[in-house]
Amino acid sequence: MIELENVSKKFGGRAAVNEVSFKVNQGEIIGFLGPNGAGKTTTMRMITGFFPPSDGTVKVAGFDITQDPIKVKEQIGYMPENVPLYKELSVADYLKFIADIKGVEKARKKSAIERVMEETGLTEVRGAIIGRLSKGYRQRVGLAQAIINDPKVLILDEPTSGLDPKQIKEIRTLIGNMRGNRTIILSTHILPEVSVTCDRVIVINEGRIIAQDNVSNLEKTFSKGSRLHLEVEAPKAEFLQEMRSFEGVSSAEEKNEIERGIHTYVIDIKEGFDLRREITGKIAKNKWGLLELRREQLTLEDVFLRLVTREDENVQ
Amino acid sequence: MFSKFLGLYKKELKIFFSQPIAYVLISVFVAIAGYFFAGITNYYSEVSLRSMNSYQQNMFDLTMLDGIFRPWFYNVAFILLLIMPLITMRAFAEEKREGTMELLFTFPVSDAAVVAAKFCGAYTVFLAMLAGALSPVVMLRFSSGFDIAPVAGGFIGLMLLGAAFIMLGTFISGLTENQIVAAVVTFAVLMFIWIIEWLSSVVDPAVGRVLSNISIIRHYDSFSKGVIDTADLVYYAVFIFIFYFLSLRVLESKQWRG
Repeated sequence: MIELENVSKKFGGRAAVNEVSFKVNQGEIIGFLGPNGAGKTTTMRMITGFFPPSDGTVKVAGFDITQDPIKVKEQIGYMPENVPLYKELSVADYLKFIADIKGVEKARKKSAIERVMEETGLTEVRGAIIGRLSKGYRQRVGLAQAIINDPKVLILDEPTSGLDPKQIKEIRTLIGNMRGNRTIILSTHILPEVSVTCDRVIVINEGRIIAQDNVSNLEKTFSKGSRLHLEVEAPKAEFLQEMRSFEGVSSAEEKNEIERGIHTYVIDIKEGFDLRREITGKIAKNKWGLLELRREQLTLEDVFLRLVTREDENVQ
Repeated sequence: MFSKFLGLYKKELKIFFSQPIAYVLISVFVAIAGYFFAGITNYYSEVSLRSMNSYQQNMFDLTMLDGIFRPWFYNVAFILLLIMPLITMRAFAEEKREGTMELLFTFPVSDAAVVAAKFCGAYTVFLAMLAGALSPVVMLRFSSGFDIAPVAGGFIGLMLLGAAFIMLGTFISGLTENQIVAAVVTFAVLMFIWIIEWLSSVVDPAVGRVLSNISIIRHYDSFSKGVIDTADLVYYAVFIFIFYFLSLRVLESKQWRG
């Protein structure tokens, strides 16, 4: 449904997006993940036809964005970050305008507006001026305008940013309800969002795709191994040295000092190893005090941090 | 396609008339134009009364067109110069600042329709202003007879002049995010095109002829006499087209500026 091939976007010589390629199939929900300024918004803007790529091709439903911009734009519902709306208009007037401009047929216009207002829970504020609505309601208006012409592709840039937890939940439910056979791309820097709503994740950093897979695979691939949290009463340097000498430990770090002589540590263990017995044995042998031991599988958050920091190391 | 333009146009009007600025500008314009009209008419009637009493009737040959309407049309044109930048300043500047431009460009509409709707929206406000300014003229017509045709010519000229002002203002509004900057620059540029004629007396006569032909008010002169000259029509048409075209280019420049 959406196809990007070697897409780059340069602003004054600086590449905001660099040689990005990916495909999104019909009906998929894709999470676009990356730190702020990674190029998520730029990539989305190219897909929506806000500006063309400097290099490469973007195709939506088979139409090239530079050759058939209007055709592409007809397929897409877009909600930009911060949801810019005409604050002077009422909700109903605004949606009427959007229906006109998106070419909703006259006969179906009224029912389309009613339908999206129902779907996004705007019916009771239909007469309200948009500028006076709360952030959560504005977000709903943003969603309503995106889906009014029943587009095949929905692109949502940070759909839940700046909302309170209750509103976030509501918006997520709305997005979940919209899936059907629609293709949805949503960007976020909040990880739980991706694991809740998305089929597949594309991690982007410094304008490049650094990983794309479904959530559980991504966790599996990058969580080869596990992490141990320890609280030990032992001389710090000696303990760390002993830990690092085990085969299978990829890193051992001190986290903080709780009391004099008692530290917490984080030890990452490679895949295929379970060193809990060896470590407790070593502690007993040295007559140190083991106060806590907890094993943890890596979460998406850790995967994400690893990916992003790994990329940083490469760049340097 | 036309229904999309209509949607854009309706949105422009709704936003215009949801804010106090449109009402303020219309009433201020109508008030000032009416005040000038009253003043000029009063002066004219005094002068003609005096010349009737002085037994030198043949000395006074000032028609109502020359005595009232021509000076008034020039006054109105100058008031427009001051007020029009305030109508066009928000056209694109506001959309840029609010970020609504981003959504606008992802809608399936052409830039041409967007610019045309901006122009037509502002032009509708301008026509409302002009209609208001017409009321003292209608009242004078009831109390005294004057030839309507040349006055109508003057109004047609004002409509073209206003269109040129609006197109230029819309273009300049697309260059900035700041409405005040848009208004000030529009005013400065209009003023410059207005008085460029003054330079013609100090430069080479050939250049001077070109300069005075560029002047936006010079082409209004024959309209104010009720004469509709093709050269003047062409001037305004070309002027509007050039700035329409430039507005499109400015919108397109988002492609490389981002």
